[in-house]
Amino acid sequence: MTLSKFIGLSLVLAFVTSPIRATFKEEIDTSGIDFVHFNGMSGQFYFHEMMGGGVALFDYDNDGDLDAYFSQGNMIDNISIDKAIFKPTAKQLLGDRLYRNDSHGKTIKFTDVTQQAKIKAMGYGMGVTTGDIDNDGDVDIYLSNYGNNQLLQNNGDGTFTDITQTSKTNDPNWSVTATFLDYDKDGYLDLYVVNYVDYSTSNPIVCKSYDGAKDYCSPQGFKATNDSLFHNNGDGRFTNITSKSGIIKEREPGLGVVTADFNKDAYVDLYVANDGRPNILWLNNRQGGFINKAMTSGVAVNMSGMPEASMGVDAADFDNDGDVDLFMTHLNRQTNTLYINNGKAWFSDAGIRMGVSSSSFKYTGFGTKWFDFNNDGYLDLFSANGAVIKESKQITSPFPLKQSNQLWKNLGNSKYQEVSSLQDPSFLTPGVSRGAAFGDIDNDGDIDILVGNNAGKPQLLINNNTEQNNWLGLHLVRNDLHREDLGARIETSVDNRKIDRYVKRDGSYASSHDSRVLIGLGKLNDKNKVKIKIFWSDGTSQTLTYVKINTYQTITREDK
Amino acid sequence: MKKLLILTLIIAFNPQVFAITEIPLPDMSNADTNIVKRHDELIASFKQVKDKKEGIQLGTVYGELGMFYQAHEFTNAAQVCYKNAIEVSPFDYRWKYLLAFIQASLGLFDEAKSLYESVLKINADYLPAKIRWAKIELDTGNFSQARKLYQEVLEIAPDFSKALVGLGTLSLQENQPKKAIEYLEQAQKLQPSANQLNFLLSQAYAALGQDQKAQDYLKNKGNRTVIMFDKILQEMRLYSVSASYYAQAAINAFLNKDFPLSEQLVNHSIELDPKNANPKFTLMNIYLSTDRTEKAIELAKSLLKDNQNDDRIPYSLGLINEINGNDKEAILWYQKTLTINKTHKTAQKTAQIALANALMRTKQFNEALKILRESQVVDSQNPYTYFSEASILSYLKVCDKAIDKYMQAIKKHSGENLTYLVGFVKTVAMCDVKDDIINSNALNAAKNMYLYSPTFEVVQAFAMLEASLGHKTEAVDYQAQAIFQALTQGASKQLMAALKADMQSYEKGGKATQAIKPFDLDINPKRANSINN
Repeated sequence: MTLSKFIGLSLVLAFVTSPIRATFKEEIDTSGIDFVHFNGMSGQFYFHEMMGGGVALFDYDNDGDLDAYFSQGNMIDNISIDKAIFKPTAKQLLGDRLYRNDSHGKTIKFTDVTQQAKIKAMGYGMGVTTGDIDNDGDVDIYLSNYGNNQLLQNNGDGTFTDITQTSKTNDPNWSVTATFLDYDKDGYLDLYVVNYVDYSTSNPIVCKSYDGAKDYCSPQGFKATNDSLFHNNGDGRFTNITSKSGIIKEREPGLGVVTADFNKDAYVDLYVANDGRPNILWLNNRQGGFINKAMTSGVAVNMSGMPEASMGVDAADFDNDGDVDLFMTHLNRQTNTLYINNGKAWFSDAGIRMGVSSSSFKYTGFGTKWFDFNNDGYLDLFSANGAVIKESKQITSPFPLKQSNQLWKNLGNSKYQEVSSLQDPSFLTPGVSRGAAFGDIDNDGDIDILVGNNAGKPQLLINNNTEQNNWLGLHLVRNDLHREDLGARIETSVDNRKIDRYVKRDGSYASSHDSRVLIGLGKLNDKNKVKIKIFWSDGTSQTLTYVKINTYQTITREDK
Repeated sequence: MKKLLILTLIIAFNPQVFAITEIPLPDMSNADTNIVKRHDELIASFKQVKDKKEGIQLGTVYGELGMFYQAHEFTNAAQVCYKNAIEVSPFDYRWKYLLAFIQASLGLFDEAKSLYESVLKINADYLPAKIRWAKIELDTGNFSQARKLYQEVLEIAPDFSKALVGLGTLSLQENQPKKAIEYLEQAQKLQPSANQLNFLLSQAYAALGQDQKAQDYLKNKGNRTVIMFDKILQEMRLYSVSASYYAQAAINAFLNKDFPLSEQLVNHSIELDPKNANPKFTLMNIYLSTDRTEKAIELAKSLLKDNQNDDRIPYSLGLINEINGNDKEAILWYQKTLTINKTHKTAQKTAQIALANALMRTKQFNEALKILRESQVVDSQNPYTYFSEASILSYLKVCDKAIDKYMQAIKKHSGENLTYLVGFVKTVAMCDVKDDIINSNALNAAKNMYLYSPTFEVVQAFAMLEASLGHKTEAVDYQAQAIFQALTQGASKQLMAALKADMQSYEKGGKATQAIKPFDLDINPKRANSINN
């Protein structure tokens, strides 16, 4: 916009009052969460220092509200904590933290229960994955670390037990994220671990920025490592089937993963976002393995045929046409990618026409998700941003990577509009954001966001949506499995508009989400006529009419 | 209030008004000594000119300083320099163009667009500005404006493939795959080896439900066979029936390698306007491309009689002699080119490069380097001069400087130039570089080249690099592929022996045994970088 036009527009706007609808407000300081991420940076610019920050929202104690888990960094290789640039405060304990949600009404309150829960996670944390691996009705945790990973089994009494050794689920590579999925439909959640690069501080590569000063490396200087697939044997043990399943055939620097049935054959598939390399679309071959079809499906690289950074990823049916689409965040000077599925697992890059590309140009995006923040029935988008290359305007800071996050509203006409600046000013506080977990923390019927910031406090973005739209809150449980049915699909329609939503915990970056499905219903002309159809992961379906709205309810497979 | 109003009015009519700002000199304490030295030279010449306050000269030194900063990613300093250059020399569109480039790369799209617009107000035919502006409009979803700009480009240059690609991409975004295919297939005829087009075409065919065709395009790594352009006659309808119409049509046909048609058209043009020298240059090019060198020389000499001050003629004679391997004769003609018209920078630049190449081939490396460095002062954005300098330095095993020059050439070249990248990768391999960022850049370059265009040169370079990094298994694997390619393409015994010698070395964990040769300018199919070079 030229200056003259700007002056003219300013004059017009000065005489027009437009309401600002701030929806998200940052409330970490009053929440009781005193976690501060520690990345252990000591001036050596070790690569892993700037990558951590995974978070999770899940109900660990089955009391009906979402608790919060934060993965933490550490000093490594016996480097003294005295050498840390951001020294931990006396209160700031190292090791991962679990906070119990003790909120009442609109008062958000969390309590640190890490010790009580007997969680001892002192590795260099990257990502958090949640799921019920033993079908006992409570949610377990898998921790992806730089170094050995951990599987923490929920004992059902508020405590956890580290069963990494006995379960044989360790992966000593640099793991960033993971996901649970039942790829072989035997009823048990298997485990897919995403590994990054072969990096070691014992023989570090020294990287430099444009001005010749030391800087963090990019992944291109390192060999990528294979992802791993572990089959859940159902007896507390897993078997590494990376080779047998075909996963070993690709070796790329993975950062993000999301599961969905992309080709609608009723078997769960995987999409892996790789950093600066072609992404992978693992299509389930229904015989215990996977085949990479990313290139021929149009999702390996962007429209220009170039691989992109690909950190955060999510999958959802954002256009409600019955198939699952993909969204990814990248480095600055690349733009977010939105792949639309044509129904046959062929995707086209439509980010530009959707309006989510150019606004991301200046930002490096990590955690991301499709979610309906205002319950109008359309899936909106969020990106947790934080640079990996020095921001020139922060050059005097010891960690000059801060950026503000972004929110895009789905306008309902195949277009998005960025509405970040319409939020409470606290939304725009810059941080080195990495993970982002989504869920209704205060159970008021709208989705809140927990953002993990590297070397800083997290952000707790509470949704104060004032549009007063209706909603549907569902917790889908397979009674035969005693757990939520990951991958189940819910179909409903709102004012003749079809809506499809899925039960999932994965997507984003190194983070895990509330598995309850919250469907926005908009204003809804007839509140008594909400009908849903559930497609369970075992292939059965169930139709429910006169479903209660504006409340959460659990539906088990037998319910009618 | 009155002053504010006047200022507002001034600003309103002069959107790009920048006050002179002091340059924020970047911290060079960690920079390479060569870069620091070059910076000092530029600052010194800037200080010399600064006080003279001569607009154009001051603008040039600001601009050149800006280009240096831009090349080394000191963005803040580059922005200030360009703004100052614009302030003192507002009609030199280069600085607006380069500033627009930076602003676009920072996501300041409105500013970038405004700058491109003002470039075009000064030079309406400067297509790079128009094409970049169009790309911004496309990337920001302003499709109607993007379309308008791309179409304007095609009106001036109907075979500007980037505009066709832009329109194709736009059509895809607007869910018009059939239209997209029309544009993209046209572009592909002009750039048959462009992989981006394969991806875009695969998207378009997929959108039409033609999945098999879509997949075929994805598998197509870029067929280098030239598809004969058979729509030349349709294009001719766009031009009025005059000598220039035939001349333009002849150029189109030449670019599409339809030499008989091109010759027919250009002769018609010459018939209509015998005094115009321009079509005769086209004819000379046709003679050269069809191995009628003697006729080309005869034509050039006849032109020389009546056009003593036209530097293109001695340049052409230099070129012809170079093609024929008469480097000494070529050098003389290039030197003559440079004496004719010192202010014509384009001719000076191309003659400099050609002279440098000739000097290089006759192993007069110091002379060649001198010419190349002079050329860089004239045009610091031409990647080829840096590439040529790099290849000489590489041959002379001046490793640090060679690598620096390759990286500059690669940065300055828009898009990817495989020759530069192969040269860079091979040099890094041969020089046993300890700098990990350079090694990682080279590895990344090799991997990307391999992914999109695994030619013999690329695979061989990749093997050399892997060997130098101690990746024995990978080196052996890629070298095996290189040997296979060499065999299927009929390589000489000498080359096969060299490849096998390298393989034996890699199998023992060693490095490449071959020396690097300087790279030639591909000006003659005979001299092209064939597998036996």
